[in-house]
Amino acid sequence: MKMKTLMLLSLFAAAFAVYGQDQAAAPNDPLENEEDYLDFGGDKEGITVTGTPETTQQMQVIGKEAIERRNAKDLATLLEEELDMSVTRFGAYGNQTDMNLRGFDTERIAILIDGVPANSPRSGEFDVNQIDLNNVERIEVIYGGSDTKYNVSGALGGVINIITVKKQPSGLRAGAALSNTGYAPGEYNARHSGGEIGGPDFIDLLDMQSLSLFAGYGGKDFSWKASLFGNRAGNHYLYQDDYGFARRKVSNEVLDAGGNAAFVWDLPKDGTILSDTKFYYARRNFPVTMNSTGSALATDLQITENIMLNAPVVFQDDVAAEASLTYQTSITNYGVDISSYDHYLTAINRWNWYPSNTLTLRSGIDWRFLYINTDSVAETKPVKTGNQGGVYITGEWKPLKPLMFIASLKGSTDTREAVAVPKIGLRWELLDNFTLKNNYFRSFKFPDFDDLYYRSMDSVFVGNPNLKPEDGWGADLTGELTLGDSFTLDSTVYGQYTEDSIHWVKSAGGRWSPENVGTAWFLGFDTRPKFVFKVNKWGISAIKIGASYQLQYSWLLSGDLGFEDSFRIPYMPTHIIGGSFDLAWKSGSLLVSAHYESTRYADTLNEMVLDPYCVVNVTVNQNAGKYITLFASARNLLNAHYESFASYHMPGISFTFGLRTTWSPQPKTPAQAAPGSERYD
Amino acid sequence: MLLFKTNPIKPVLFTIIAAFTLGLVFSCDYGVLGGADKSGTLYPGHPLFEEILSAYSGVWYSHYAGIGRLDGYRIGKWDAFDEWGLNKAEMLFPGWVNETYTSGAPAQNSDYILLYDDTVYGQADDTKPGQESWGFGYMGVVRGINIFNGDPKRGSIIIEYLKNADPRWLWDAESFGGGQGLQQGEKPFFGIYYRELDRDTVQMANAVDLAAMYAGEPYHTEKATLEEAVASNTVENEAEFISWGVVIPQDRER
Repeated sequence: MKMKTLMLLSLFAAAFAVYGQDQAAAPNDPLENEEDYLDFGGDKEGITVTGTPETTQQMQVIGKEAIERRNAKDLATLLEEELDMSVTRFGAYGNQTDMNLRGFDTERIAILIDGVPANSPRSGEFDVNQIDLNNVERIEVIYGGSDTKYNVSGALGGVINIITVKKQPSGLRAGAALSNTGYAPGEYNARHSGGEIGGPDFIDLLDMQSLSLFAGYGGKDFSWKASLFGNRAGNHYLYQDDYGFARRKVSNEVLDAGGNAAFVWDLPKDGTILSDTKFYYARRNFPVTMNSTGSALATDLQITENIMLNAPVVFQDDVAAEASLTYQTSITNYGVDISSYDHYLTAINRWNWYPSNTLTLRSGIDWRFLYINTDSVAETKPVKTGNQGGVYITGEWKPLKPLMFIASLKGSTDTREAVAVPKIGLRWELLDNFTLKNNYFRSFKFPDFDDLYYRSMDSVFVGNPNLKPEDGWGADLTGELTLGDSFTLDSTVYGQYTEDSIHWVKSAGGRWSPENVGTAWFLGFDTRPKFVFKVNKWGISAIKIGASYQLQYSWLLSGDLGFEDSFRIPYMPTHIIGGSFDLAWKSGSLLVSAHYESTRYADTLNEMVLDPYCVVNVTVNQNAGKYITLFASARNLLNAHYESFASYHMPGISFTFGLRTTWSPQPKTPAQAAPGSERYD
Repeated sequence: MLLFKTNPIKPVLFTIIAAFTLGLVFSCDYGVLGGADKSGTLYPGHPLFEEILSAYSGVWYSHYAGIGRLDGYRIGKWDAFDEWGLNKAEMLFPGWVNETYTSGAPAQNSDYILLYDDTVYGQADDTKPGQESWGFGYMGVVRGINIFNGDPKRGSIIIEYLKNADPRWLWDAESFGGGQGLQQGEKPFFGIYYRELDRDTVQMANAVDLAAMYAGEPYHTEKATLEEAVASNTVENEAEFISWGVVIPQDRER
């Protein structure tokens, strides 16, 4: 342990020393830019007071306009295309999807909706389809386990905060988005048909329909917004199977719908109180294998009610607070005789105190209660309850205007054990155009509830109540360079490890149980150059060219394996490369992007090899009058054949056509200069 | 570039047409048409039958990196079934008899035997049983091979259980899932699907009817006759029974 910590410290200390030479920061008046200190977020941050204008973390933000311009079907697709996040899927829309930040999977990433943890408290998973992207204002992605902004326990890989609610602008607004996605029809080898050739099935041109509606109103002291969305997906796409034969996917139909209603009341002294109700229902056929004609029906219903009080001024002018109480219920039915009826109650209270212009103190407490009722013949104890929670205090000290130190300590417990998780961070504006960020943090996560207590219908998958938490340390160093208005470069090097890494292992008699198998190590490098050219010629307003490269080494030192004889962690590519070309003109835009992932492995011995792949996507948006935008997308334009999860072949080329309309007393302005994901300082 | 200046709709149309054209060009390629889903059956004595089983003869185990063995298969001729194999059989199937259920005849020296061992996790050596067994282990005589789409590296090996060496989970209500409601020896023919990754790494999977499992029905794939087993363990049912993405490969040990 000590050697590993020293290695990390020396790595970053060396880099820090190089950058720190000859940079004597001039003392500036901290009051010169008072807004930096008192910015509670407002529209930019969504609804919470948690926002801070400056962070020490590597962070990317996707704004509403960029979300709309992508026309992505789900959250994971958006993050994959916009930020080149690595994603593992079991097929097209509606199937299980796993995201990957710095080598950590969804269970180890905190996914928040409006600042409230939204991962399943039972399994740590997150259903990306429950998010209606037409109803998202902004998405923040914080990389690594150093986050002190939300300070969610167990966020080893980072935080994805999805902001869906904000105070509505004045007057009445309404809008809709409608689209159809189709796959190129063609001939294929029909299954169980004695060698018959099927197709082409032109109905596949109408494979998926999506509809989203919203209405909102902003009054003097009150605003509301309501939205509904629904999708029907056949997922009947053509693919090339293991033998090289053309096939058509069947038995994977999805029908889902969701909605939300949010009310925001203004209180004295800029305070607000918010009520947000969300629901999501999905009815999905899952093929029993990728290629089968048989399927199992699964239904999910999720309802969330969130009440939040947001007070930028409490008791005295330099104290702000927010409190939220969130009730979630999840009713799942999978297969024939297993259902779960889960209820979760989450309470969060965060306080910010600004005792001076150079010091901010933040503290918070969060608690989550779990009530899990699994209706399964295999369950010996169908009803289980649990508690998780923590309390933290964070200090942000700015001795000089360009220099900020952050120190945070969080105590977390799952009622079986309590731990202290320290984090320290630095943000240093070394030059007018160069900022350095540096973090050191404990990398700690309690086992998920399912890891401890799960029992499948057939008792093949059984939890392990004797699991130890995952525990380690991490560090990262980020440099942000800006050259004029045209060029930015963000680069990060990071290292992180967790001992007692939890993985499901096949044990005696064919039973699968989670075990603390060893130490997981992650070392990586992430760089994102971006060029933006304002043109104002030939009708073009801006051109943006972006690229990203992520080098991601991961090792699972299970048992007695060392670095020299270990293997890559399954489903973690070593190289992820992205590129984008973004052209905006007065009334529309064109976006071309490519995403490449190198070889991945499906097993711990790295014997099941998944080939590298590259997917190219094209999207074009065009305003048609004041209120309507037409859009068209071609995804996987070059028709790459690839598996995301082993033996699960992904769709070839698909075409989407749709329109988006927004009506308000103040008509929308013409498309602006192609903002995409942004660096966030 | 005048294109953009004169009419903003033109670049949009141009982009859509270009994307469609590119897409249609590339979408012609979804793989081979015709000739799919062919299962060819080989019986003992056929040169290819002997060649395949000779190549797969040996001891195979799957592993979790750094931790050890998970489960395994032993394949070999009866006359090469050494002390190790006999000890393993005695440990897994006490009271087993060298007789098949259908004919009552013993395995001959030239017959190939397949033994599945599912009880190895946590063992220091091969002499002690694992911590728990639900009775998935079995042993039988190889009666045929279905090879898929003409590729001898993919197929199913069809065995007939030896007496008292059929898996307990089929007939023992005290075993996994309360059993499958069969009598011992009632359906003695079973297929093991295989997919070769390289000469020393092969995925082998015991077939269960997944659709039946999710429908709450018995999901064993054992059959009463060889003919039924040959007809069932086909390349078409490979798609229904096996999800290769979660089948941990077996590594050749000896």
